[in-house]
Amino acid sequence: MDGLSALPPGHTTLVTGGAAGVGRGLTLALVRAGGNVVVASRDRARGEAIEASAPTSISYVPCDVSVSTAVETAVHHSLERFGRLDAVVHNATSGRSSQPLAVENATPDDWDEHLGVALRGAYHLARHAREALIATQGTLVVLSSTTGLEGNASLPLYASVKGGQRGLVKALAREWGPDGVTVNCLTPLAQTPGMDRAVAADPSLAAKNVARTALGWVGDPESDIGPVLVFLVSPAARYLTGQNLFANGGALMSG
Amino acid sequence: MGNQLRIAICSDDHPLARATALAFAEIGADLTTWAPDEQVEIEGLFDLVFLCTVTRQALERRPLVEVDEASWAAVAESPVVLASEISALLAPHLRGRLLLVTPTLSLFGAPGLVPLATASEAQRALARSLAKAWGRAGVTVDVLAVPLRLLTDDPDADALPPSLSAPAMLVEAGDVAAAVVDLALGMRVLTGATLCLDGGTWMG
Repeated sequence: MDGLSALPPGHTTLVTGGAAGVGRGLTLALVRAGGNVVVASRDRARGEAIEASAPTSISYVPCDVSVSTAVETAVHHSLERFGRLDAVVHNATSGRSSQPLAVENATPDDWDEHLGVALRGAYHLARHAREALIATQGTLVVLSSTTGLEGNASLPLYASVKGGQRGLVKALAREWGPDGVTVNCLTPLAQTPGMDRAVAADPSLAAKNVARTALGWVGDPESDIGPVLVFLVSPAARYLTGQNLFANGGALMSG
Repeated sequence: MGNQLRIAICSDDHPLARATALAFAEIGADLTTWAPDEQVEIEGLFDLVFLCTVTRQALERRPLVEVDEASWAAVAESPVVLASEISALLAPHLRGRLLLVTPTLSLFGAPGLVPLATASEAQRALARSLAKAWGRAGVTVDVLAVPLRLLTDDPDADALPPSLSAPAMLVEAGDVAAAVVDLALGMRVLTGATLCLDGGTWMG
């Protein structure tokens, strides 16, 4: 694949939500770069399908990231299947992420859903994967969103948890630095089924998304976001930590 | 002028909350105070609401791997939900500014305080979302980021990473409180902003 660096032999990444959307693209990019991927997802059908597409390099494990024991199982599965864990990519997000909801109407269940996947999931992953990542001097990458930086009038819950992930990443980067483990955010702008649904609901979004970018197009999860993720989990990025890398065609330029 | 101001302080007790209450009392503002976990009846309109959901438990430093699930929920998640619920409750009673108060440590990373940093950054994004949602109604929403020691009676609370230079000046609670008074009196174009009042510790 053009622009895709090769990963070291045996390099293994656990990707949550890696069976669909951006996660699927990241999974495929990692495999193209020569890596192994454990796809942790609640979607068994898609998880088994992506595993079947490359069974020697991809392994699926059912996982609800909001549940500690499920995450622990996923980490152990990674070690048993491939013998090591070099990177954890927390990409999973709530199915309600793009559903407009004002704070005035938010219920405890709404909050628990968003918090459980985005923040509690990251917490479980960090706790259960830490030792394995120390062994490989690996990395934790959290997929974030510009919404977490800019806020969103109709998606305050989603914005809050995405913002919270940035706080977690910076603090954990300082905490794990002495252990040799890096922690970063990757903030993509990519064409996904979720974006397709949003555009179907509001066709003007398609042009708006393009207009936001400096490059004039919305990225593809595998061929545009994938190479950036491959770099982040590779030894080439070992001095990068506590950062939020925007792979969004210049839609938002951090200052 | 002070008699016209109605101010609310929703916060646990700490130096900044006390200094802010004093600063507004000195200018004759009508002041209402309550703790975030209190159930209160809210009446009338407020010119400024000072909202801080940082608790004493949030200040306990320990590695993330040693934080149990109950503690994670209490420090990283509940304060965010609480801030959202209180903000929603206050929405019909705001005619000025909602100020969410958080520690600056979430901006530069704080080992041993991952749950607090998580909750703080979540509230920054919440504030920006509310600023966008409520701006047309004339309500401004901002974040006030302050040294951690102003949110606790522990003077050694600010253990800064070596990579940060010393603050340009030492900030006391009264200094920040004076700025809060100014925010109640004007600066109507300021919304969705993070005001880092930490003596120049973080210039990011």
